[in-house]
Amino acid sequence: MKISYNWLKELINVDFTPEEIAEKITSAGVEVNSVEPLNSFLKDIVVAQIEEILEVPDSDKLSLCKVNNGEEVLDIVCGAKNMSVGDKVALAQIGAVLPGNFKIKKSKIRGVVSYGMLCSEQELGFAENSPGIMILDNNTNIGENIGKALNLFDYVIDYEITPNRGDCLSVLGIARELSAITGIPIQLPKTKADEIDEDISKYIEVEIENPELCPRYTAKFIKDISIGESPLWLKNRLIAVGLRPINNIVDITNYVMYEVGQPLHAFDYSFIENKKIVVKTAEKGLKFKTLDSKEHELYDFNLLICDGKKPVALAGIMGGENSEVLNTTKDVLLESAFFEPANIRKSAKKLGIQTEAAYRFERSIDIDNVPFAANRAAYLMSKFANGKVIKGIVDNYPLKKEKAEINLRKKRLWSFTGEDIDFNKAKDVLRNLGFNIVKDNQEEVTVKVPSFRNDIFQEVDLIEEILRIYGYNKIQGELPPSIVYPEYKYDFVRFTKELKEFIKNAGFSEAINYSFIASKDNKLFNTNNWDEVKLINPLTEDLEVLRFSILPGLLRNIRDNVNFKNENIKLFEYGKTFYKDLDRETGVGEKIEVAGVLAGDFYEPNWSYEKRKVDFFDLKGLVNSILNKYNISNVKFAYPDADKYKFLNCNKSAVILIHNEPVGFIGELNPNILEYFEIDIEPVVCFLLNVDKIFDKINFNISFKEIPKFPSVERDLALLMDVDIKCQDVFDIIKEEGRDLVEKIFIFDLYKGKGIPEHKKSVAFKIIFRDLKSTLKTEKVNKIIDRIIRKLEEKLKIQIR
Amino acid sequence: MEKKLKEIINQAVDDAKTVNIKNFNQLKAKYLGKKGLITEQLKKISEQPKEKRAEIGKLLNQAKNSIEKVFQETFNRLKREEKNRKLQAEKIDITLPGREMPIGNLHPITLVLNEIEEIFKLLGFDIAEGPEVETDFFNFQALNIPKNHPARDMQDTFYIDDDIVLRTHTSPVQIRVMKDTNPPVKIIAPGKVYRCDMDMTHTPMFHQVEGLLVDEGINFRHLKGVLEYFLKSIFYKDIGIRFRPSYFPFTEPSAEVDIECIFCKGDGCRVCSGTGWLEILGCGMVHPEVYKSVNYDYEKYSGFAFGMGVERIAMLKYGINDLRLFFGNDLRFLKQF
Repeated sequence: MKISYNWLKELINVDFTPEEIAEKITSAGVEVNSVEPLNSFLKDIVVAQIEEILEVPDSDKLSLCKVNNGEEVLDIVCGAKNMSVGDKVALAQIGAVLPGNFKIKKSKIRGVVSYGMLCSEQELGFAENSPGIMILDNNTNIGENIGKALNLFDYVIDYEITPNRGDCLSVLGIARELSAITGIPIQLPKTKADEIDEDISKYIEVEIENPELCPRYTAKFIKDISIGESPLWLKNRLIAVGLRPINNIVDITNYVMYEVGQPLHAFDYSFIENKKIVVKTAEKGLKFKTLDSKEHELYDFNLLICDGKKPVALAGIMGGENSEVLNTTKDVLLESAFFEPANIRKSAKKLGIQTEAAYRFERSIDIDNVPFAANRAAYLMSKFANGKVIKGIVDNYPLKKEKAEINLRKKRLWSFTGEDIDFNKAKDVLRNLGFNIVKDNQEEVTVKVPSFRNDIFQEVDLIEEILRIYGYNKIQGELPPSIVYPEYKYDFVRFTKELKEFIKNAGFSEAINYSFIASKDNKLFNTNNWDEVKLINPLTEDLEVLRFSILPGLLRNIRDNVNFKNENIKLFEYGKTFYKDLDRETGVGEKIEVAGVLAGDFYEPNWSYEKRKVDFFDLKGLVNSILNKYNISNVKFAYPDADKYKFLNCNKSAVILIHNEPVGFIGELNPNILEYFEIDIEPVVCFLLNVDKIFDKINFNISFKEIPKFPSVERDLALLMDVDIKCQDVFDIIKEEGRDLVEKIFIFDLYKGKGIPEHKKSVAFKIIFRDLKSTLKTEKVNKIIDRIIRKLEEKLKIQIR
Repeated sequence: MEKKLKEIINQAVDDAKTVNIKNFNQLKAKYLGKKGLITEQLKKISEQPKEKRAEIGKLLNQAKNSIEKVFQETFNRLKREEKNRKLQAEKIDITLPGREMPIGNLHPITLVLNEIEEIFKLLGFDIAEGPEVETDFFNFQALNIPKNHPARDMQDTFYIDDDIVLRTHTSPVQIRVMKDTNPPVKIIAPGKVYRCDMDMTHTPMFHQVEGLLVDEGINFRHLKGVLEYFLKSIFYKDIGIRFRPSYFPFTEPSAEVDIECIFCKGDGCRVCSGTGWLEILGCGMVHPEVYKSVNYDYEKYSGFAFGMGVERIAMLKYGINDLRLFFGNDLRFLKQF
């Protein structure tokens, strides 16, 4: 909320600079975002007097004015007609910069040199349009700066008001804060108009059908007003807070809202039928046109202001088009009321209307202040719109709000803050903040909460009030006694940390993608017939559902990185993925996954390594290393089901099974998917692990095995086999025959092609045998090898080379 | 005979001086081979008179030994020379790039999270986690943010349905932990959070770390002590810190914490918009309404909670100037960490 520095000083007489005010207010809890000088461009504009008006040759529109700026007489060409000799005017001198970055230069117009410009209100940004140049009051001094002469220099201070402090959404609110900090009293603005001795009830009657939604409604009546522009100083203040001046009546209601925090509404009385205001909820489906010409279909909880026949305003949100103040308005019915905050918020949200009034009502206003604001506006209307204020006010207040009483214990204040704050000073702080002390002893006080504070309910709220004025920074920090020690454990958090480290150390860089993606991307990775989790209010179509899988994000990253010319890509991501699960409290299941992608060459260009593309086995090796590290046994790899894993090339992919439960997959991406993701390098290989499933399978008990005492025996087997035979089958036979004497099996050569029959491959195995209890005899190994060879021939038709 | 042998030995010594490693075996054969000069003499021993045989045999053996010795020395010398020659000749270009074992990179967010976790572990905080999809109750109501309350404006929420949201902060983890455990509670909860906002300075997903300490006798000084310890640890020891009153529905009193601008050291610069201060975290004493929602005895226990944005800390620590870099996953960015 922006308000002007001078305005604030009208309500509290302080001599702090704007920066000092910002500092004080911020340290007490209302943060100041910025302090900006207002109208500083007026520094090159001065009061000047017209001494002579001459014609400009060949022009009937322009005149040449001889203008005295106090130092010299300047020639100024002017297009306006509303000035006469002797008038005091606003002269923008050469070098001045007007709003819109309009620079004033010496210029030649129709052969006449002009040394500046005479300004209109429009050119100075104070009016939407002006009929002619500004004619200044005759009391102004020639040569004086116009900002000074018209009191237009000011500062705008921008306050950030938290939602609990609706009472600070006005000049009065900020003045109250400043008063509480400094002890300097505030001065309320004038309200006493010369009123006409007539009975207001002759003009208007107010009826409230829903007092729980409108506990107080007041009305003032002002007649015979003259609609027109507001005075310059008033317009200037509205512009400073970010409002557009409209006419004096509307401007005054806005001015008072900013001044004292009470939203007001002015009706054109001639449109109010039956001299009656009725406050009641709408009928569902009723259509109503607000003064911005938009039609709304109403809900039954929307509160309406009606006259004797029809709705005339959406209570607390916006007036109706059918009763707004127009240029023809003569008599004004002024509304000042209190509407229930939650209902205003709900209504404004549902109808999609945001107004300054609703913003304030939602945050609650000062119910005691309702008539004051009406009187203040009536006073200003009498002064600046020549209105005649009818005596008295209609004040319908069916639901009186009791002021809450709260106790504050000294002991509690001390134990909560950790500081022995002087209790008498604490009471002073509360008094300065407007609290009334109703009971008092050495250990405890009872206070009444001021009507403008709608955020104070209990003792701890009072402690905060005292502490924020006392100063958070006066309190000495102290580490708490270490009474709580977390249990030492190897847990999921530590596992995931290690897992990320491990993958990083294998050369992958960690990516983080948004958890939401486009539904069309997501559907491609639905391997389990999951239902999608959709956002009701996504930011864009590309971010509309929660991801089933981490992969689509990583594939987008590959495309982007290829575009950035990063062509050898090793990326991984750790995070949650989502699916519908009605058994969960939230209806959404969350899996934790880690996935990685490889693309391009495995090695960066190097003089020593043979250049090669990445492949399936790079990632199978990584996954095996991870599983081995955590002593996970009974791991199997199986070709994926091509119907489920449409994004993979299933001939070059594997599902990872631990004890026959799938825990992830490794594979080469299907070329169609690469095309879909606009990736033009091949191959791209990926892996994905379900982290929580793997965590369940970890065997944490590392048990030391003695270093073998007896020597091992190595045997090589060169086998010629059908290309379709899987190495796993050979492994299985070797292990079956060798039992626990087989320590390790390697494949050290694999060859197809020249010298090998078609549909055959040559595979060389190295088997290491060891008996942990004795030295293994050659004959025993020979026997095992013979058995292995026989089994291989029998079962797989494999020949020894 | 003796003379003859001496001649052979002298000849062998001379030969040994000029031999090289290639013809060494040839030379050895010339004297000691089957048809070698010494071997020939040995064969001829039977031609000598019987009584002289023993003496000649002895002389021959001596000659053979000394020649063998000379040759052994020569061989060792040649080997040594050969090795030196090899050492001299085989020189590598040590400026050729090595075969790297390319270690990858953790995301800067992960790095900062790790550091935050380490610091709080030193203070005895445990790590807690919670779901990213939350109920309205845990995300708002239990944290004293009722429906139709303006405090909901502080966070633009993504909805799954009327009652289910993407968590807008890590604060619901506080509630989950307190519902499950009795005091004392001392946790931090790192994780992803979501808000419906995207521009130069906002991403719809970002990371937070929540903290909570509830026990008997915990007061505002402890809140300050813990956060000062944290900020001095993660930035630097003598960093300026200030606490400003603020508002969060789930703490009372609430505070926002500023650190002195780490770029201008408080003098005022572009990063801190001239104020010399940077907002770094929000905190406060846990609100009585929160205790009510988890059935803690408010008169007996007190405590504090805090929350911080991880991206903000990472930007300050590493001097990153564009928030969107965190989720662009450009390797030129990622590889710098």
